[in-house]
Amino acid sequence: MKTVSRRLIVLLTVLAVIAAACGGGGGAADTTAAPGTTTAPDGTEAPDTTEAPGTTEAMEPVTIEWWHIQNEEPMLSLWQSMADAFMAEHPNITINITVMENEAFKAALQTNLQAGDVPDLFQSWGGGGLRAQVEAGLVRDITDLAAPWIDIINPGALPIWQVDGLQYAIPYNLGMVGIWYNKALFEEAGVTAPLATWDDLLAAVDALEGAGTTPIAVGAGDKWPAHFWYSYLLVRFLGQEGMNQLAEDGNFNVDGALQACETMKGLIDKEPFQDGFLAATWTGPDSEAAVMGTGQAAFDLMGQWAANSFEENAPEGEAVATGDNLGWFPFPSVEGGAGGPNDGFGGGDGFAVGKDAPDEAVLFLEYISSLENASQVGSAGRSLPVTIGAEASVADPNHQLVLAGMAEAPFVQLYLDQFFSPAVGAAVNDAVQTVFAGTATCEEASTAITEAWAADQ
Amino acid sequence: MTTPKAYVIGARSRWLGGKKESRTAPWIMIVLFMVPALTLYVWFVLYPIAQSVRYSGFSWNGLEQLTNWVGLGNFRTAFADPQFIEAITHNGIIAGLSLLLQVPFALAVAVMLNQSLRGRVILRVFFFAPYILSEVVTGVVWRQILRPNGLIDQSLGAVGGESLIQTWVGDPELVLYTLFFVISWKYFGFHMILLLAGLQLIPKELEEAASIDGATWRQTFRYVTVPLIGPTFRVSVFLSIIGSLQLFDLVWVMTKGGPVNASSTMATYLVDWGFRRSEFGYASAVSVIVLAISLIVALMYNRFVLKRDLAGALTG
Repeated sequence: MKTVSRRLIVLLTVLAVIAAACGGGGGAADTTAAPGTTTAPDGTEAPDTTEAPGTTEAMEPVTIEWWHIQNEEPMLSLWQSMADAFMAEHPNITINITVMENEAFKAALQTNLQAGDVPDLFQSWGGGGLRAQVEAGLVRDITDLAAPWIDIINPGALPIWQVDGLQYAIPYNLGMVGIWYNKALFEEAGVTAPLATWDDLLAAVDALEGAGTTPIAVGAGDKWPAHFWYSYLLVRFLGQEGMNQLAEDGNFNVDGALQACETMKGLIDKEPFQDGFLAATWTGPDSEAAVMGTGQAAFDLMGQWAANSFEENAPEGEAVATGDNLGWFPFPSVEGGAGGPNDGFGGGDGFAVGKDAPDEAVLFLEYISSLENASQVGSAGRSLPVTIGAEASVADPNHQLVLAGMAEAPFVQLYLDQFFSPAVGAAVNDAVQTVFAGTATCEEASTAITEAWAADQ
Repeated sequence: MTTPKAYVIGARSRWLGGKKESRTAPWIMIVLFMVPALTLYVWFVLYPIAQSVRYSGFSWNGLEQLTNWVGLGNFRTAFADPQFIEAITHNGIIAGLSLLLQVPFALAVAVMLNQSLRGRVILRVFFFAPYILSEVVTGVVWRQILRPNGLIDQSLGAVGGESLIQTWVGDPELVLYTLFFVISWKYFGFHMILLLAGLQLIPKELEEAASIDGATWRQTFRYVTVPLIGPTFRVSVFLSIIGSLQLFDLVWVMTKGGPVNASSTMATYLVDWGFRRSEFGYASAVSVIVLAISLIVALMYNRFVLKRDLAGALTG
């Protein structure tokens, strides 16, 4: 009996310790959270005489959780240095940066959003994805907080990050998709850029094939690079009005949309793409960017980040589609389309403000949007800043062309996979891939998207 | 039946220093010792399953409130979706090919390496090595080997086999078989080791007795080896089937189920609908279906195939 009870006591003690350890996490969190909720805001009672000598006023400590996806240089260090400088200016503010790769970010964010544990600032592409977050009450309306300074940002860039006229996120990069081409390969095949019309583009494909060059690189395995071809043709055939109609009723079985798809099919039937394009991703060793970077294909259709990726995805010293050898021109016009030749198609990046974010998060957004900081983003060579005046910092001649293209665009359509809800966006990408693979006709692909849209309502 | 149990409890009581009056104490001990494991099991296994079942009745994007009750609608949609049926078919094809090719091949290699063969230890390590690699590493490496103008294509080119070059992962007709090859490359070593262990349990005397009786190698294999390797073989087949049903990592890394769903599996379909399309209600329904399929297959296999192997191990 004695031994039994002793063993029981030992066992119970172990269990108690485990229970205490498990409960400890919550307890510690509670105690750290407590001062934040009980202290008077903004130090109105100012017990600052006992505070550290460096600070003039005792501010309540604030922590900002910031998730971004610039996991490559130079933006990785640039964001860090901006956060450091901001923290030095505001000693009470701590910014915790979490850097993730694009796809990993999407999965992690989804999990955190479901748990209601929303980062204070996080990558946002605006559009339908942001709308879903707003409707779930997960992001904060910053219209009023940002009102005093938001006019430093190009007003054309803001609507993508608005939902029903309210601002939920602030962009820092906006660009448009266009044709990136290898000048040497064009010259070899006797093709002159820019290819102003779709017929010019088809003729260029023939000429390049004749010269033994793979005309186009596409990462159809990732689907979205292929969707650029379809979407830009949609913009050309439907125009702004038609695109708005598409957003209204989700009917992709209309003449303009089918024409866009058939036009794309005409290009696909020429088999202009690199080997294995159906499995190719955007980046990686056998990707679209690698094929372009190493000069194995003459051109592709991609956003403003392309030049950087061409270089990064080619082996050291083997990148050829860079610098002076790389050119850019806008997507060609099509005959008989409702859209104008200057209508744009693109998108960008911004930071959304989480539902429980402190006001200081918006202060930080103001900080990174300042002309000085936005110019640093511009001169880093990866992004096209949206702060008015920061365009001047964009040094790359191709990026200047993209900026000029945007300035001329009366209308810029957001990427369809961001514009629609994730489910419809995915359906667009999937449908385009089936057309690229030749496993579906344009009617079937359009019907698939239309049905996905209806199911999502 | 009762005698062994009484013996066990008696033994525990003695270990606890108890006499007859402490008969109930072991049960308290058992319950107390089980509480931590049981808590974890309930919290991290049963509770999430129950949650999935609950979500499966809603049309839910993972963000909004759970308000849009659709009953069995998600299940109907899943079984009406040709892409889901296609994904199940792919799992079936991989399972079928594994049983037809991979496991027999593993058995053949195991029999070979069970002979007194020079360097067999090195060969065993050599064949087993791929199994040690993580699925992700395997996927990344093979993706590079199989890419256009990659190692495979270059090797074929070097020996004059240009005409055999294919777009191994880019061709919807071919990609599933390419994946099966990589899966087999990784897993046959595991089955080989398993079967080798089974072979080594067969007493040498039986084979000697058979040969003294004038049995040929073929007869010895058929009437001595095969019956005695049976239990191990059935476990190997079971693991192979379960592995085929759960197939995800390797496929996700190499193809994400593409191109055009040509290499999708139930798991890639599930992740695609959950995380890419944000249709968590529907994805939950699919996860319930996957669970049901796996459970039914596992239970049937246990009931009808593994029954005699397990007899005595779980009862009495």
